[in-house]
Amino acid sequence: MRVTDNTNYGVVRDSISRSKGRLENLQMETATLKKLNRPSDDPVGAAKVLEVRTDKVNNEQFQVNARLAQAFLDNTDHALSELSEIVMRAKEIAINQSSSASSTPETRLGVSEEVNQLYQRAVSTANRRIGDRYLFGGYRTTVPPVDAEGAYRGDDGEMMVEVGREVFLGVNIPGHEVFNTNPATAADRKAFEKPPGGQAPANRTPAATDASAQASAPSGPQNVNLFQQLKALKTGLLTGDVSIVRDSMDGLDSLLGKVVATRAKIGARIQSIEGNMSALDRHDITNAQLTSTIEDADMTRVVSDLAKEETVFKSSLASSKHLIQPTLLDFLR
Amino acid sequence: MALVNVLQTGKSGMSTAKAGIATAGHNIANAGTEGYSRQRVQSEAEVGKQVMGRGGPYVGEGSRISRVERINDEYLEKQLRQGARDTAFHEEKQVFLNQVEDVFNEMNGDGLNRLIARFHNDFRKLSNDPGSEAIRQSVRESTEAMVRDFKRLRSEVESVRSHIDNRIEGGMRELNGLASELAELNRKIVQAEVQGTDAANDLRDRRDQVVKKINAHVDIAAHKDNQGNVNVDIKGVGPLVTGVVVTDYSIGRRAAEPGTGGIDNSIQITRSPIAEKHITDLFKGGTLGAQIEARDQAVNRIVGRLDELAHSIATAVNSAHEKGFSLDNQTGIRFFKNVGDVEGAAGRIELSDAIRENVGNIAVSLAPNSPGDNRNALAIAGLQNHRLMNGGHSTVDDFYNSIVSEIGVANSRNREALGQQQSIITQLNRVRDQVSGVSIDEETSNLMQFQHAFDASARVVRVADEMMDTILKLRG
Repeated sequence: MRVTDNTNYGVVRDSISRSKGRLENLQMETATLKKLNRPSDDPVGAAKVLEVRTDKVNNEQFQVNARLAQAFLDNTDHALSELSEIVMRAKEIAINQSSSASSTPETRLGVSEEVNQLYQRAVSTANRRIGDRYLFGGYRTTVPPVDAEGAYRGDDGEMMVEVGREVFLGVNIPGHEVFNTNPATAADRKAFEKPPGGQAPANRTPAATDASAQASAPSGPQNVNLFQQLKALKTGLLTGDVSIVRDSMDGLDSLLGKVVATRAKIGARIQSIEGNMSALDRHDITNAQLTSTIEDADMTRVVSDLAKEETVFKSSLASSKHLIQPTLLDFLR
Repeated sequence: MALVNVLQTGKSGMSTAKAGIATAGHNIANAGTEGYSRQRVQSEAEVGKQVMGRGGPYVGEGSRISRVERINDEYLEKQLRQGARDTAFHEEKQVFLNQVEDVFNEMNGDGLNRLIARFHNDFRKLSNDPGSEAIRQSVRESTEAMVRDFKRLRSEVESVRSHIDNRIEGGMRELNGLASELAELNRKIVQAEVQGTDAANDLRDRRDQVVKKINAHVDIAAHKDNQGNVNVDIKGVGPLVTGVVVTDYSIGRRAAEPGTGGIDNSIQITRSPIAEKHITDLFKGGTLGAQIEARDQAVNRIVGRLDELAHSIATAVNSAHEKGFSLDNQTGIRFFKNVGDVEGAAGRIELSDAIRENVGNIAVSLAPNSPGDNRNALAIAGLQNHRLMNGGHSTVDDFYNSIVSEIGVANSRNREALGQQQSIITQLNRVRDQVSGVSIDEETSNLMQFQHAFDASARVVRVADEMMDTILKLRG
């Protein structure tokens, strides 16, 4: 085989530049600690990394959302716990005053004032706020949901929050669902079970749940309204009508049941948030592991490859020295 | 037999040796010349003359240079040329693919992917607190950032496209120049070879080089005609050089042919006499092929997909937003300005004036008088999971990520092909060097060999001279 000088030089040039190219790649990896520096380094991995990044940003937002939902629900729960105390106290009073043995016009007058206080407390609890938003007003978060007369000014709106990818959780309880034992018509309720983004029902506003509306409700068990019930109790006590007082015991009982049931619902939601939060945490860890496998350089490998490549580079330089120098001319002098 | 003949024999040996030395010198001098083929002196014995009358023996009368041969394998040259064409194709394409990849590279930084995610998440934030002015501002800011990045991406990809246009322009000029050079060489070689076949060795090397360079620009078919011209046709297009005649191809900016999806005002190639229709897309292979393919397919496709993405986002967000109610109970408000057609959407996407002027116009609720209603914000945030793209098959994120991935695939595939092509060409060059390359060692030993031959032939002349002397002295 003829080996020409160009061949020699070509071999030297090739081996040096190839070695240098590999060195440069390795140096890039050590500098960035990443093996994925351009999409073309691993196109499928690059898309995956981008996907995971979006996922990560979303998860962060979902965690914020979940904490907000939790705060909302915790506050609602506190308010409901107060309401249940109020209802319980009212029930105690009703029990005490319903038997003529312990009830005299004087005691009735005395406790009627307490019932009035309970009513005021119930109204102010129903108008509890978180930040500047009313908890029990449905979507009407900027006006007090219950006025001094105990009429509901809010609506049926349930504010959904996304606590996981396409996992929505209601964070508020529209007030009239707690204040009434059988709140709205079936048609009304159904309209609100639509997912977010659906068309708003036309008949939702104004709030349709004051006493008169309840009276005209066509069917189902008799509705009891918290504020009306407290007012009735007070009237019964003031007028000395024991039968009203006795009747109110049933009403207060079912109201208490309603509040307790709602608290159970909230408890379940808070629990699901916690479950969801730890799922998000786990998801974050899995994501971090995934991206790390795709884009992080294996430093042990990089460093040992670098050492190897350096040796290769040096030896190809050294061998070039011998390959290039001598020609026949060198031996003819 | 005359004594003069011996003198002549010595002289012929000296000339042959001298030619050998000159050729070795020529080879050494061109050891580094690209595309040079080493040359060899072919000598042959001079037919002898009969001595001692009829029927006597023939005695040789020295040597004669028959020709100087150019050691070159035409098949190998052709392979090398095609290898160089493919290498040039991939090399050129790599340049543009790298540029495009740089535009979309967000492996180590922010990019549209993150900005789109931020856009959606700001709507999620707004859904948590629909009344907050601060979050409304932040929705507007993140939208502006997303819009800006759409425009940045589009204009950067556009600038890759105009860079390619410039390269096509330069490449065509070079190609036309090379074509004229080839025609000129054809003329010189045919003229020179009237005097003898080896008269144009070095011109032929140059012509091979020119053909090789032409081939690096575009796919060609080269063939020799019987007058010794090399004729070059551009494959799929038509003749470039026929003998000494050059077909001129000209370039100019033209409107896109309707229905081809081409870009207006881009560089197109036409054949000069028939300037009506451009024949740009017929050029395949080589750097020109790479430029045209990169511009009209790869880059164009990416611009198209960006437009599609921007268009889908703008329309989907708008149609959701128009259903909602603003803080002032207004409905039917556009979030983005109308983007119009898909083509160019990424360059035109823009926040609507209503939102730009007053963030209270962001329609978060689905009913009037419901400041706590966040359903529309949720609906817009939820578009992130809607399969808006590819006829309902992929989400916005998927679609964008697949653009990045597609660029990556194109780039890495081309890089691999380039690597392979380069090793093929290295190998071919090595083989060519084995055949046609100059070895200094070999030439040096040839040099010595011819030097000795020259010495020896000179001795023959001296012997003849002494013999002459001897004869002259006989008379004295």
